[in-house]
Amino acid sequence: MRIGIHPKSAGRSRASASRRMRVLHGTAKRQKLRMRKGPKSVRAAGSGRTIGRTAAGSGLRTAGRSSGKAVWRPPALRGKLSVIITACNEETTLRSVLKEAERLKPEEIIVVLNGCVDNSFRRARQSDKAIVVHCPDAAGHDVGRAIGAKISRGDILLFLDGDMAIPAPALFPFAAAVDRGADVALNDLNPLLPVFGECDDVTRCKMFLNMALGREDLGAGSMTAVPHALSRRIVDVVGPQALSVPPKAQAAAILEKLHVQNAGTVNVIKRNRIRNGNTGAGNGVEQLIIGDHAEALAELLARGASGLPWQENGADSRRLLAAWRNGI
Amino acid sequence: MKRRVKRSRPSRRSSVRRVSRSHKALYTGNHPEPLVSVIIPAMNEAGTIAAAIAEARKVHSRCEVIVVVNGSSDGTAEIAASCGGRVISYVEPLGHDVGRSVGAESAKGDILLFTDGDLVIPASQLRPFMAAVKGGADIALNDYSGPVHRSRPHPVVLSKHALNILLRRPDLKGCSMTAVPHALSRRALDTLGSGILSSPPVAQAKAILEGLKIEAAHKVPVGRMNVIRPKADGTDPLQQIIVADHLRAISLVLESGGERAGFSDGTRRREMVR
Repeated sequence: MRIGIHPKSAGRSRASASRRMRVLHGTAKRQKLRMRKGPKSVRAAGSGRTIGRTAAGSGLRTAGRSSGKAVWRPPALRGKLSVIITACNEETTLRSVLKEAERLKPEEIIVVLNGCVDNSFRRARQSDKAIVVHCPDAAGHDVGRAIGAKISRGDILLFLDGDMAIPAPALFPFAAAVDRGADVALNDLNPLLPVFGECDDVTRCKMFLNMALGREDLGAGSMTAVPHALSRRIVDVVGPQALSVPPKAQAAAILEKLHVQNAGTVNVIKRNRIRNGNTGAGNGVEQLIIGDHAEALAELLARGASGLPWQENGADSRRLLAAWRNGI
Repeated sequence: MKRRVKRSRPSRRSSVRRVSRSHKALYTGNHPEPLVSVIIPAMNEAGTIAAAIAEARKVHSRCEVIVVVNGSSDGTAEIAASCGGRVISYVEPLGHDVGRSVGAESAKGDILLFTDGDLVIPASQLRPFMAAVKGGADIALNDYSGPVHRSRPHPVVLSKHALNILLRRPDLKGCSMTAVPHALSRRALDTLGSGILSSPPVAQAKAILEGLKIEAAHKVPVGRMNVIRPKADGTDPLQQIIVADHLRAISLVLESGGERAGFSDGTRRREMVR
C-alpha cells in the first residue's frame, strides 16, 4: 500500500507533503526513512493540519538555507531556458518541483497538468512564474511534453516530471549541455544499471535502439527518461508532436545527425513514484515503452538506415564473411 | 552466434577417437529411414569433424548425419565421408549459415538437429534438443543467452534479447536460432522453408509469428568454447551481419504487427499536438 504518497489521503496535509519533500532532497538514508514513515504521514494528516503546516513549512526553509540551497546561483546561459513540467496528480511534489525549477532562473516555466483530479492545479498556480496548461482529460503518456514544447518559446527546453523534485544544481548540466550545442541532453542512467542479465526489458530496448542507430556509446540513454533537455532546433526538425513518442523522436534526431549526448546522472530509478500500472514485468507502461521502441525502429528501417554499420549486401557478403572467418 | 573451437589437448582427442572407432563398429552409415537428421556445416574443420560426426551419430539409432562441406581445402570432406556421413560438398564458401539451408533441404528425418563442424558436442548434450522436439516443440533452442554478466552487452547478445522482447517472448531471453545446437520439427521446416534458415533471426521471428512452439530446451554454454577471431580494422563483420539479420527480423515483426509491433499506445491522444 502506498498510502503515504497517495494524492488523496496524504494530500490533505502539508506535513506529509513537506516530509516527502525533505526526503526527496535527502540522502539514501532518508530514502529508507520514507519507507518507514510512509503510513505515519497519513496519521499526521488526521492529527492536525495547522501544526503540520507551520512546523513543516519553517523547518523546510531553515533546512534549505543551512544546506546551502539558497546560495546556489545558476551560471549564465546564452540561450533562453524554458522549463516544462508534466504532472499527473502530483500535488504532494509539484510545489517543490516548481521551486527547484525557479532556482534555475528560467525565462518561462510551463506546467502541463495531464488529467489531474487532485490539487495539482492549485499547487501549480502558487508559482507566479508558471504558465499552467490544464488538460482535465488525460492526454496519455508523454503527450504533455509535446504540448509543453509546442507552446514554449525558449532556446533550451528542460523537461521535468512533477512527481520528483530534483535539486536545481543537478538539473543545470542538462540545460548547460544544450547551451553548449547539444540538441538532446539525456539523463545518463548507465552507471546505475545492474549487469545486462538483470536489466529489465525496457532498458534492453533502449540499449538496442541506440546500438541499431550506431550510438552504442549512449548505452541506455533515452528521451523516455527525465530529466532531459532539448534544443529549439530538434523541436523544429522533428516537430513538437514527435515528442509524444520519445524513442521515436530520439531516433529521428540521431538520423537527422543532430547532436545527442548523455549530460548528467540523476537517479530517477530509485525515486520514481510507484503507481498502478508501472510496476512489475509486463505492466502497462512497460508495454507502452516497448511499443515506442518498435515505432522508433520502424522509423529507422523506413529510412533505410544508410550510413549505419548494419548494411546487408546480399548473399555475397555472407559468402565473403564465411571466407574471411576461415582465413581464405 | 556460431562458436569456433579446436580441441587441442591430446588426451581429450584420443578419447574422442576411441569413441568414434567403437561407434563405427556399430553403424556403418546413415539410417535409410532416419528419425533424426543431424546437419553439420563445416569449413576447414579437419581437426574436429570426425569427432563431431561420431557424437552426432550417437544421438539416436535412427539417425542420418549430413555434413555440408564448403570452401574447404584441408580434406574435411574426405574425413567426413570416411566417417559415414552424407557429404554435400561445395568448392566455394557457401556463406555464413547457408550450410544450414542446404543441409535441411536434403534432410529426411522428422527431427532436424543443427550443430557445427568445429564444435564437438557430446551426444548427451545433443539429445535433449531431439527429445524436446519429440515431446512436441517445433523449435528447441539452446538455453544460452551469451555473456550477460556485464553492464554493456555485446551487440549480438543485445540484438537477440531485443528481438525476443519485440516478439513478446522475453522469457526466451537471448536464446536464438543463431546459436547451435538447436532442433527443428519437420512441421517447423515445412512452415518456414529451408531457405530462411540462412538468416536464423528471421527464421525465429517467422516461427513465432506463425505460432510455432518454440522453447529453450537445454543449455550448452557454447560461448565458453569460443575462440576470439581476429577483427578486420576494428569492426567485426560477423557482428554486423548478425545485427543486420536481427533488424531484418524486426522489420518482419513490424510488418505483421504494425509499426508498434502490436504493443498498446496506452491512453495517448496524439492528435492533441500537431
